[in-house]
Amino acid sequence: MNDEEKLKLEQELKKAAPLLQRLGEGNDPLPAHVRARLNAALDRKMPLSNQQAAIETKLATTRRQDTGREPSWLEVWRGWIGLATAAAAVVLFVVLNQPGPNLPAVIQVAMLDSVGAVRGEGEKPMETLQQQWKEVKPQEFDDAAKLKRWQEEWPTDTRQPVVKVVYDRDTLELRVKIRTKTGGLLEKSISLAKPDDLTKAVSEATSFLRSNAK
Amino acid sequence: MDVEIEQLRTGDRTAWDRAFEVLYAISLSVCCSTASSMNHHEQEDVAIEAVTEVIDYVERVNSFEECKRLVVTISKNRLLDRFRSKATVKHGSGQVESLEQQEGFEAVDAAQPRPDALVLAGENLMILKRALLGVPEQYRRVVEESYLNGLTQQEIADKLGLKLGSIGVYLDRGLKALKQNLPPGWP
Repeated sequence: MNDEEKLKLEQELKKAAPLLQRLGEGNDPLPAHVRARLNAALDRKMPLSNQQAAIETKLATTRRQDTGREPSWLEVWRGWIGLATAAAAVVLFVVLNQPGPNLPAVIQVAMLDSVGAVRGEGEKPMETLQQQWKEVKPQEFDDAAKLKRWQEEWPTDTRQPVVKVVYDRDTLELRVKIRTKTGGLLEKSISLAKPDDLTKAVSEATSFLRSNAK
Repeated sequence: MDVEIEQLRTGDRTAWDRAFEVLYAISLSVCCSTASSMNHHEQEDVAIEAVTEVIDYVERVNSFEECKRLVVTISKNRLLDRFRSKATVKHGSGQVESLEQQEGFEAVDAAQPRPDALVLAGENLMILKRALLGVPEQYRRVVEESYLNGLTQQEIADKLGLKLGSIGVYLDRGLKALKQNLPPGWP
C-alpha cells in the first residue's frame, strides 16, 4: 500500500467513523439490540414454524412419490440384509439368555466360633458339617467381622447357584443363604436348642437347599 | 454480499442476516444524511422500522437491489412522518410548519444524495465494517481508537496498555490488513 492509498483509506475511515461507530463494536456488523429487534420482527412476519411446515410438506410429498414407484434391486437387497441382521440378533439374544443345564450349586460352608479352645471336647461341629458336605472344606472364623465379609463375597465367575452355610456356634444358629441362577437371594435360619441338635439342623438345611438351590 | 431474493422469500435466516446488515446500513446512511440533527436513538428506530417494513415487500419485489432502493424510500417517508408528527404537536392542530422550516431536516434539493447514491453509501459502509472486522484484533483496536474515536497515539497506548512506539506500527499493519480485506477499487 503506497502513501496515496493509505491517505485515501484514512480519509474514508474518518468520513465513515460516525456511522461505523453506530454499527457496534462486537464481531457482528450490527449492534446486538438492533439484530434482536430485526430478528423478532422477522419471526413475527415469517414464523419459523411455517417454514418448517413447508419443509415437512415438501418431504412428505417426496416420500409419497417414493412409495408410488417400484423398489430397485439395491433396495430389495438392503431389505433382505436388514431382515437377516435382525433375525441373527434375535437368535443371539435367545442363545445368550438360555438357562443352560442344571448345574450343581456351589456350596461354601463356614463356622463362627469366637470362644474356640476354651470349649470342652464334647461335640465336634466341624466334623458334622464336613460329613454332610464332603466335597467342601468348611472354614472356621473366630471373628464375626471376618465372617461377615466372607458372607458378602459371592463368586462372580459362575452362573451356577451359590450356597453359603454358616454355623454360628456362639448363638447356636445355622444360617443358609442361596444366590439363585437368576441372582435372587433366599435365606433360612435354623435355631438349635442345644449344640447336639446340629445334625438335625443340617438335614433340615439340606432339604431346604434341595428344593431351592436351582 | 449477494443476497438472493428467493432465499429471503423462503425465510432463510442466514440470507436475512446478511440482508439486515446491508439494509440497516443503507437506512442509517439515509437517516444521517437526511436528518443529521435527529437524535441517534430516533434515527436507529427509523432505520429498524424501515428495514422491518421491507420484510413485507419481499414477495412483491424482483430482486434484492429493489429492496435496497425500497429501504431508502421507506426511510425517507418514515423521517417525514416523524417530523410532521412533531410539528403537529408543536403548533397544535391546523398549523403545520413546513418541512423546510424545520430544524434538522435537510430539504430535498439537488444537493441531496440521490437514492442510488444513498444505497451505495450504505453498502460501502457495510463493506468497510466487514473489512474492519476481518483485521486482527490487536491492530483493529488501534485503528478503531485512532480513526473512529479520534484518540492520540499516547491516549491509545495508555488505554490499551501498549508501548507508544508500537502504536504507529500497529496502525500501519492494521491499515494494510484493512486494505487487503476491501474489494479492489473500493470505494
